[in-house]
Amino acid sequence: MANWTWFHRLGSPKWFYEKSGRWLRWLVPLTVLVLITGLVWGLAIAPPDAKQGHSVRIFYIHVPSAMLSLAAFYLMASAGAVGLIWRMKLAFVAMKCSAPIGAALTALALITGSIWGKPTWGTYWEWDAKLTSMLILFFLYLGVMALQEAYSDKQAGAKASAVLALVGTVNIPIIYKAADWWNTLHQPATFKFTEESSIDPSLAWPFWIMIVGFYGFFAVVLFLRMRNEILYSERRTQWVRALVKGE
Amino acid sequence: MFYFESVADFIAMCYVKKDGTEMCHGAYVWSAYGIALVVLITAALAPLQRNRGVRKAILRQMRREAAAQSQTQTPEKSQAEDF
Amino acid sequence: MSGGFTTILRRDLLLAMRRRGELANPLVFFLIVLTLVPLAVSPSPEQLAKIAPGIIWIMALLATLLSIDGLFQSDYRDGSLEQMIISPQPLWLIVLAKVLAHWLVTGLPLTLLSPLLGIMLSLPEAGYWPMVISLLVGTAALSLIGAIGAALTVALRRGGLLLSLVVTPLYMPVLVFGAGSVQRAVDGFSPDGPLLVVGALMALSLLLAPFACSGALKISMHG
Repeated sequence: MANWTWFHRLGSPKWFYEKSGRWLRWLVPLTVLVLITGLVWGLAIAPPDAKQGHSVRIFYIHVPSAMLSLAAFYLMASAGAVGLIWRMKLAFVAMKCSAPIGAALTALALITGSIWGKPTWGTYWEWDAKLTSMLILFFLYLGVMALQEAYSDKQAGAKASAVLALVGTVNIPIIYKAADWWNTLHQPATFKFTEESSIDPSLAWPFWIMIVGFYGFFAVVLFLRMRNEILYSERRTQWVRALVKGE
Repeated sequence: MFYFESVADFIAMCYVKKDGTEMCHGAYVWSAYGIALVVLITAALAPLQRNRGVRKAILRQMRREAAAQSQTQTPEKSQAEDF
Repeated sequence: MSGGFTTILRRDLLLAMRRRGELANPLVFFLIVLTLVPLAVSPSPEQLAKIAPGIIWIMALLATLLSIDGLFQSDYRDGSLEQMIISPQPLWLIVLAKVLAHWLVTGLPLTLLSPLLGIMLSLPEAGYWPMVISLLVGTAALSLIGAIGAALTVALRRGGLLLSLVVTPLYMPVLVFGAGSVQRAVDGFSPDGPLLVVGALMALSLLLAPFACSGALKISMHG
């Protein structure tokens, strides 16, 4: 039973507020450092790709943001499930706060993907399987956020959007498969880019750095948002009042 | 260490393929990185902005409650979310 | 247990029969919007034939989407939804009965009407059977998935628009494989593969949607 105390403490907003404050103190500088390293490496140090030229540099932000937008959806749905099953208030806070970050990253992945498409495919928008499933993922995010907003009872809104996020999670792999199959049905006229996986090792390093940086960024913004939510929902408690006055 | 030889090269980002065609992707790369920076920075600044709003609102509510208590023991109305 | 199922099914069908005008609305919508297509695109048979599979499927999807809004609405307003939640019957079974009733009065007639629309849009002959089969199975999947959205938005004042925002992305795979099966048949290939996938999607929604729905209804009613 003793092993579970951390789990219950994790559910306490006050505990999370104090802990996350301490985590942020090293997480923020570390994330900034990693992101700057990755950006400089991707932009100025990595060599261009033999086929795509310098436009491959866009991948250093496109791929991490696409990865994170997917990871954020799964995180959101898992947090929603934890909230529904164990009635943990903090899990709903995490779910609510990860939705807008995930949506922003999905939008970023879509924008950078279409900018990359212009020199590669000759058009800003190509109904490519990955971009199409990304777009649907963006719509799923919008649906979850809109549903949350529509409820006047915030707790009910959190629960309803948790159910929707879980249904969406079941759907995401199916959506990806469907887009993939559909793409082979209507073979696009433009050439298909198949060499994506064979990345030169000298190009791989900035990828990993950027992916780590984006994960860090997501964690930082998630914590910042959750802390705001906690302050607001606990605004009548003693510890929040002492904290606000203490400044 | 750096791939580019001059700042002008860095901005233009031109690459000559084996078959001799030159591809200049500077505009695409720079706009993508610019948009990414704007998105990341706004995403990071938004919660900081809201934090200031939340703190101010809580302080305002505390002041209002203190004023109400010092006047008379009027029944305290629930303070609506005013931000 | 099955007694409750047939009771709800019979009740919903009876209610639908009493409002025959409302019953016809999705079908009329299906027909009217389809008439707009040649007017907006072109009356040339070759051009219509090219887009017919997709257009018919999109219209079926929209007709389902428009009608699914009312799935729990009247029960919510007159309080019988509350009764259903607290009744000893398992809620997912009641949901299943309601969805089946919905499909019987919208999806099934849409499917039966679709060959007529195929003629109007000069759908190539090879597309008819896949269209009917994919719509028959696919509209059932659409009703099941749509029911989740209807359950999530039933207590909201302006739930209709939100419902379509929430449900449409979830409809994407059914649409892709449904319209794709017709397209493949028209192109001269076997439509079996995508038809089987539509069946699988239907089975998956049949398995999961009633539970998601009953959970969503409880949240909608009690927070």
